Amino acid sequence: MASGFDSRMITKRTFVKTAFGVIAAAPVARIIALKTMDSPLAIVHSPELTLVDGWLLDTQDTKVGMRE
Amino acid sequence: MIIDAQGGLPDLSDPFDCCIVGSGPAGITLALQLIKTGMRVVMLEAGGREFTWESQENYEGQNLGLDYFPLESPRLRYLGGTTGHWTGRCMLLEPSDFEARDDIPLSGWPISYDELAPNQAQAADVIGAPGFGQIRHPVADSDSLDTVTQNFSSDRGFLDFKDHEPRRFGTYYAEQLAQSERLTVILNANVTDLDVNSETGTIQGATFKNYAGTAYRVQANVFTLAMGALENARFLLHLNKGHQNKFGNQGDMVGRCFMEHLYTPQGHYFITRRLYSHSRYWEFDRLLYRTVPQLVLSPKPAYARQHGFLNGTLKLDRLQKKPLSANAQGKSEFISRLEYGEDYHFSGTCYVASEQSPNLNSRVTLTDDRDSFGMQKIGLDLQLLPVDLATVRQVALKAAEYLIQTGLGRMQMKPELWNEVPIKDFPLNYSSHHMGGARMSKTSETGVVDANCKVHGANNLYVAGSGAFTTSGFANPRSQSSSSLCALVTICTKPLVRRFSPKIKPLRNICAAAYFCLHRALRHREI
Repeated sequence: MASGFDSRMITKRTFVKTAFGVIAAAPVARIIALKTMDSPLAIVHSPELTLVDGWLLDTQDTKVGMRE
Repeated sequence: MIIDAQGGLPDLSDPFDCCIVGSGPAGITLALQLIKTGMRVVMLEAGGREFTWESQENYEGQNLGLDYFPLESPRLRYLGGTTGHWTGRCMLLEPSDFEARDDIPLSGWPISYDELAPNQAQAADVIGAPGFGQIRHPVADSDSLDTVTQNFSSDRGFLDFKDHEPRRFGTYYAEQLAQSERLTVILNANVTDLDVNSETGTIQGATFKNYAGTAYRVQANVFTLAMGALENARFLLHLNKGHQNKFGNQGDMVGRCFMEHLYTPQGHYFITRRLYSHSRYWEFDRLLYRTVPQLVLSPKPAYARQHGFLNGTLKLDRLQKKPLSANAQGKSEFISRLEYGEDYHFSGTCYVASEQSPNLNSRVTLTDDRDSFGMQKIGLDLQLLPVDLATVRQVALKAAEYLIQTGLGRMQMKPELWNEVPIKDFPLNYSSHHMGGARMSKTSETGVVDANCKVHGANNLYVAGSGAFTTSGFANPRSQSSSSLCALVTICTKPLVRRFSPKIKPLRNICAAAYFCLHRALRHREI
């Protein structure tokens, strides 16, 4: 029937939405995944800068290693 | 039309409305605007259509101050000027660059950013850029830093200076210049003198020579020097020697306040994955445009002013998914314990690009050496002030602090900068951006040209180009060698032009005020 046929038609809008969703899915998922992972570096609100062998570090960096 | 002085010239006795000396970006931009108004214009270019050493060697000079590039290397002396090796980066001066500061002598333009803003679209069109957008964007998590972007390049991410195809003015506009009935471009025309009416001070003609030494003369109502900051200053010094300093040199200001953009590599940096949370579009840019993400941080103008330093940026360049080399890691235990892919994901190199303050002792002078036309060669006495290096240091420190505060990463700093060594001991580097020497000011006591770029004390002489820059702002140079140019393209003022030629009412783009910088840059497509 015509009405049944119409309900199964893929409209341009649906096609565009689907295509965009497929294209965007991977980077969106990647961004979300990465955002859920915190930085391994500590956030230091008031760093005290020091120069160690050319690197500008916080004074705490020189005392504590980053990884156990 | 384009004609060549080497092959003889037609009758030039009919006066032109305007004579432009130099066919670089300033000269060509000006010429294109003037002919639209119906003016008859002659443009005198010292070189030919192509580069020749015969022409280029006339740019040679002496460095009398701080170490600097050989003076013939950062610029080009032929049709199109230094756009011949420009790679297509532009940046606008900022509103704060025009403002006077009590703590910075000679700062403050006689015009405001807003006066130039209406001309931005027109200028973008001339250089083939899609337009300019908001330069600064507040950085999340920081009340003292902005990110710097340009619509011209890309306004999508952190910063992607995706350079546009550089427009070589000499080749791009050659046909347009050749076909214009109102414009006469004379190649191999080396201007050696301007004829000044001793009673009125009005300039009546320009004398120029070809490379065989044959002299010619053109007459015009208005003359504009558009030879680049160094040559404009040099020519004005020559002109003033014979005319009691009447042309902008009443206050001994011609050649003074020559400025460069300091380019100071800092070393390496690394970035953790938090980069993703600081750039909404970074991933899409990488995916869709295959561009290399770059982050440019700049202290907010208000912060810089409050802490007594100038405008500058730190550019985290060449961001790549690669580990730090052993050499880059150095001996720091903290750094050497980091693991690529776990603790950090990107690394690259960074540099500070910063402003040089106006300095009376940084100047263009004349030496006793002569060029092939008997004119005295340039001596460049480039000098810096302590605030110039303090700016480099503060910009780097603020950026490093931000990286630590946010957990975004760490960066290196030049030890000499950390230790605040004197200027004479600092490994200086520059961007080949020439500014000042014919600076814009309200009076001849502090500058050479007025707000319309008319030379102080002159009736009909103007300067077009970055030589008129009062201050330099910052830039984002990518290469410390070779050249680039800081050009202006102009704006200016209806009143000035109306005065000389009522028929050119719509004219706005005469020689002028600084407006944006064209920068040499390399393309980045490593990721």
